Amino acid sequence: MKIKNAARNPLKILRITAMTLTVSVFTVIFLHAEPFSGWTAPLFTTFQAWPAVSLALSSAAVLAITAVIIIALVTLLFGRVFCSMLCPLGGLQDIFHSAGRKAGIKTRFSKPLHFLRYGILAALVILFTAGNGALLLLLEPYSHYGRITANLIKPAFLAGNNLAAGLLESMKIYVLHKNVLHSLSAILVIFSAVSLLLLAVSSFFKGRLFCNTLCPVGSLLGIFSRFSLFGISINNSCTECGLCASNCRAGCIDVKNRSVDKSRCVACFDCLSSCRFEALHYSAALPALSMHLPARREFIKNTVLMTAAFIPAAAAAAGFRLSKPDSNLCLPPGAESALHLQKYCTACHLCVSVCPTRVIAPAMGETGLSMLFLPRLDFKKGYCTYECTSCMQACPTGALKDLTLPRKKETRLGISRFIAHLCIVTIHETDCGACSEHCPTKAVIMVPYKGNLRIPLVRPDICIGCGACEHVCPSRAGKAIVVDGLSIHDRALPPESAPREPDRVEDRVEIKKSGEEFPF
Amino acid sequence: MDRREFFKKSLAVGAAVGAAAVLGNKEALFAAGKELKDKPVSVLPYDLVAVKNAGPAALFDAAIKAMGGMKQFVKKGQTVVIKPNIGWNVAPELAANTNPLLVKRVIEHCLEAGAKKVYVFDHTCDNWASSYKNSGIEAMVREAGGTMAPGHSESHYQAVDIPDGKKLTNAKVHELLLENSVFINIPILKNHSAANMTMAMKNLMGIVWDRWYWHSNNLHQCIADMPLWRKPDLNILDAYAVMRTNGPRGTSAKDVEIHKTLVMSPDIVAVDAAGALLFGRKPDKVNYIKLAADAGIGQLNLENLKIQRITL
Repeated sequence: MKIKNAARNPLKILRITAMTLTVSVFTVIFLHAEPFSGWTAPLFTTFQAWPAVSLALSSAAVLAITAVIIIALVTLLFGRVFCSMLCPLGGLQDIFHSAGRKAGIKTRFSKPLHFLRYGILAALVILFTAGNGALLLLLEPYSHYGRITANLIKPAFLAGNNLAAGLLESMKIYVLHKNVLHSLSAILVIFSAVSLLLLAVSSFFKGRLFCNTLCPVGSLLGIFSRFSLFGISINNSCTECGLCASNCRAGCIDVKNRSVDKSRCVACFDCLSSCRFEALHYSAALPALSMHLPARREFIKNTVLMTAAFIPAAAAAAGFRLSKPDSNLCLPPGAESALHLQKYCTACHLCVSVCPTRVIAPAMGETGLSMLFLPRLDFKKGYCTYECTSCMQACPTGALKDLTLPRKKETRLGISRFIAHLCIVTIHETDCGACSEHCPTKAVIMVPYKGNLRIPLVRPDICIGCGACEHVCPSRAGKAIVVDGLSIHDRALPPESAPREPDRVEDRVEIKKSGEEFPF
Repeated sequence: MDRREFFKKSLAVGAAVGAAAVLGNKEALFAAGKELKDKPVSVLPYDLVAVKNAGPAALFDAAIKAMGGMKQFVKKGQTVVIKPNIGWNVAPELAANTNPLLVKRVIEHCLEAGAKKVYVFDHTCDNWASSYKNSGIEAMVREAGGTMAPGHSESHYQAVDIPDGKKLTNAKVHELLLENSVFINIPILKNHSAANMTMAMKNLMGIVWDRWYWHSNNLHQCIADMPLWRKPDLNILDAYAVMRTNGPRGTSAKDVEIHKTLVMSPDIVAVDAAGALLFGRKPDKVNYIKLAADAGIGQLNLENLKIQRITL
């Protein structure tokens, strides 16, 4: 397709439209505030490259496998359009890149750093297969966007929302609601902020540098796009002015050799309208079956560098997960086990963001470095709602398996344990019962104690470890009932299988059973 | 007081009031809620009305007709605040929350009697958005023309004193109840693992911010103290579907017995006494009912009251 007029570049317009939509939708998904919490768009998160692969591997979901095939096919046909149209982190980088362009920064053709790209990709694949997803967490693009939105943008957004809601509420207008933010720690904010800063700097000056060096999705899709049917090529109208190369955010146009590196081109289509001589076009050509073989010296150098890149990356990721998680750690439903979570979770924090009671919190160092940033249940903030499956429905990688509600209701996340000497009933000898009141399965019942007082009793077989009891315990001496988390989830017995709470007989009165009368 | 002192004191008062207004802290300028609510009570034909054998809306229609109509409680142009039980994020079949059809009917009567605005709220136990929605009450309130008000943030509550309280001497109460409004309490009768059973007085726990204080400072005494701040103008006890066990949340619809009954009275203790008897308990053996009756909040001996019993 030849572009006659620089102003008319329909492919570029398509790209910008698609990317604007992608960034907007992902931002809204992560901001997730009442009363607009119904605005979820699960298809968008499923069609992210790494989450689709992960979901396909962890649960063989048909939708995930379809997404993987579609993304692979699209890349084989059209090149890395995913990177320029569907990746929210790409969109974020494009914002900084545009700012850089306006400030006069020009990019240049750079040598491909194959050792870095493929070394890291190899390390990542091997570690993931071995059960360690730590390197993924550090480099996967969708998860970075999620963390940046959930931990930097959302706090600011909610502050504004709550201020506006408060003002409207004082006028008895209830269209907006106050929302509580999820658990946020300084380390997490700093980590997200540093990621954003590094990304901002690298894209301001060098465009999609991250996408063509560290990003595993970029490297993986690059392997496919190298052989894509459609691609950017340069014809003989080219005068080697270099305008296209200085507009290329991927730094992949080699003007001297009149070639475009398809493995690094992110299909932004900017170059098509930057050329004054209509020398660039996006067209179909059978992929060259004979690869350009580098000289032997070049090949050895690349192999050595790739191995060299692989080793520190692997070591860092392996060390990251060496320590065992805290045995008391309580994991969200669907996590199945700490090991399952460590393999599949990339800490995008979507579950953290959508959890209605904010019980899901990103784990920090207190639960061992191996679970850093991964979701855990913090019963100080809330408890796992009996009727809720939001986190599992949201999780795009299959780290939290999408259990049905009945199945989730019998999944044991932990087991409650009563600590008698801290209980208000033993200390003050007055009635309490807040724990049993909130228990959705009545695993915690109230049994006779002294006089007419009743004290809690836990039936562990029907306890599902939701944490409602621990969360509501009002004892100032310390929580008198706590949940011991299970590092491997198992199954609780149904609530009916345990005997009912013993009835109170001390205040019984005969009810006239005649049906027509009132007992007074 | 000389002129200088007068100016100083005026400035101080002005600054204090200005600061309070600017910071948005609408501290109730009255010490106790009682002063706000001492309205002349219209003469009612009965002290308590009990109806059985119909749907929730029809039960209320019969009850309010026997009492002389909603206009006995709601005058034209007044604001009404309704406090049902919306504590739990469960479906209506579990009878853990007030029947939504009953709430709807009460709102309709209030609006017909000329109420300017009808608000409905609860400080829910479970997550507020899910409880408001899944209880079915939010939808019915909207249909009836009422307004669901939030109660999930501390900013919605204001501190008040309860000088006659034995254990509960102050509390943060929902701001809607601090204004000159009609207060209608619509509890549901059910078993309660912590308080034995829950009815009208226990339902008042949802008008305060800090429920945990009650649990850790003699629960029954706090329940009995709360009406000392402000008694609801009318209590409508929903005994249409009664959760007999595993309360207050319930584990399944198997815990529920259909009774098709409704009890109504401005006397909160009398309503609870009637509810206890309906449940099969002696009222004076339910701790908080006895404490409240002893404090003079209401009458627990139902023989002393003029009662209208209606079987439809």
